[in-house]
Amino acid sequence: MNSWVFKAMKSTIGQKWLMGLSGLFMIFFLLGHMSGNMLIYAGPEAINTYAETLRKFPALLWAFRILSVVALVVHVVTAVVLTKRNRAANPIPYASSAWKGSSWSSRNMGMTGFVILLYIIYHLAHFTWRLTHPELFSELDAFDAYQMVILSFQEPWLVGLYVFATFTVCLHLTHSISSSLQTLGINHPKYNEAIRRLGDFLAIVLFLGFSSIPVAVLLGILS
Amino acid sequence: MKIKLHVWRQKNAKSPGKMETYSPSDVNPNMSFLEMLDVLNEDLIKKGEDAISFDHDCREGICGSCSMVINGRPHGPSKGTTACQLHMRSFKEGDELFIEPWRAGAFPVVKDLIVDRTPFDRIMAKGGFVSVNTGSAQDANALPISKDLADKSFEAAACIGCGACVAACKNSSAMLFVSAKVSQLALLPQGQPERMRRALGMLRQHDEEGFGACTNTKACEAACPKEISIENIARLNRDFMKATLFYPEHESSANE
Repeated sequence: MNSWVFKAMKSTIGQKWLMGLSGLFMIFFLLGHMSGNMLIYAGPEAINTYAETLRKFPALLWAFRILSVVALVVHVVTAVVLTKRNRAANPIPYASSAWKGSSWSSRNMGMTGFVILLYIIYHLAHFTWRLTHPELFSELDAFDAYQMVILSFQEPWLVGLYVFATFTVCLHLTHSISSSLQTLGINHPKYNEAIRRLGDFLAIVLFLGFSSIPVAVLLGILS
Repeated sequence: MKIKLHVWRQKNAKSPGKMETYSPSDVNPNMSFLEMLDVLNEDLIKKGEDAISFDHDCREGICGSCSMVINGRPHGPSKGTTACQLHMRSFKEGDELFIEPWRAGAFPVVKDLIVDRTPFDRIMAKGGFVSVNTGSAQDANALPISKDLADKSFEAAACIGCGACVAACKNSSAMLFVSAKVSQLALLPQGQPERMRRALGMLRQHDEEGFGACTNTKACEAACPKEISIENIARLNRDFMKATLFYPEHESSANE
């Protein structure tokens, strides 16, 4: 077990590369996911056709699902390993914590990440495995994604949960994009400012895009 | 001026330490921070108490010896300034200051505010140098280097190895230090022959010493008295992965 691959995986930078690459993949996943979701504003026809089309290519769908799960697992495992290491490296806190020198989101990636992980599990149980609301979905056609969304978000607490979760994703992403690129070695005074702005912009767009749907349903804009 | 100090006192590496309070009464605003501690120490010695131990040497901001966290910030509140170059006029009458040693598992406290920073020496020994026979100085401009590259290398070389980056980092990562020492040579022709093995050797030693991983919070950059940029960390990240993927490591080349 002394190969160069193993050595790289054991190193802090190697693990950060795994974390950055898996994170970037998930950002692209989120962009695709949101673009698909936006079809709901084009009516039931559009989004249901989209949901059906996805399932017409099972090999592609499963390849993508497996890739997504692998990215998530790599991201979570490296996060746990690195967090353990980082905590061990810094055992005694300062008596005065008046100064931080860093943004809230950059210091709390572990916490926001954990909230997002719980949310992902709930979200899958809700829409993919249909475990949380069996009474709502029992009579629905498997592909009636539109009705599934409309029926679910009649409950204000669930809308609140989804808005809170997507906001947590937004907080996580404001640090993620510039951080993952920095880890991959992409940092140059010519485009750092653009990367930072693009990161904030994408985080906000994803938040507004995702959270708009449950809110629109609750307000009766979508029905 | 009158101020109140809370200072970390610890007899030796083994004994547990604690914060103790002092109220020096005749602090002159023109004193440097270390002079203020000197005066306080003279008082303590006269009273037969143990003086506060702290590292210091040049007292002109270039040696990297002074190492104290003042109100949670390495080297105190002034940007791009070492603790020795900080003056009491930066504080107000009646201010309460917390003075603590660098906090990191890899930097154990030796006494009071002094920590053991030899992990940095061991990292340097793994490649922070150029192995050439230097002989006498060569002609200026014998090796053509563009001005902007020379400047960038010089900016990285401004690192005084004080460890403020580690002290500021929530993960106690020394990535800014390692990246500055890797970059100052990686940017120059003299540094190229050993560039890959330097990045591998120094980063591996960094990990071995128990420093944490970088989470890109940029606290190090904000605390660095020489304002070293995290651009250097990105360069280290690139060099380390390039070396991992392409550098043929065998017994003789592994700098271990």
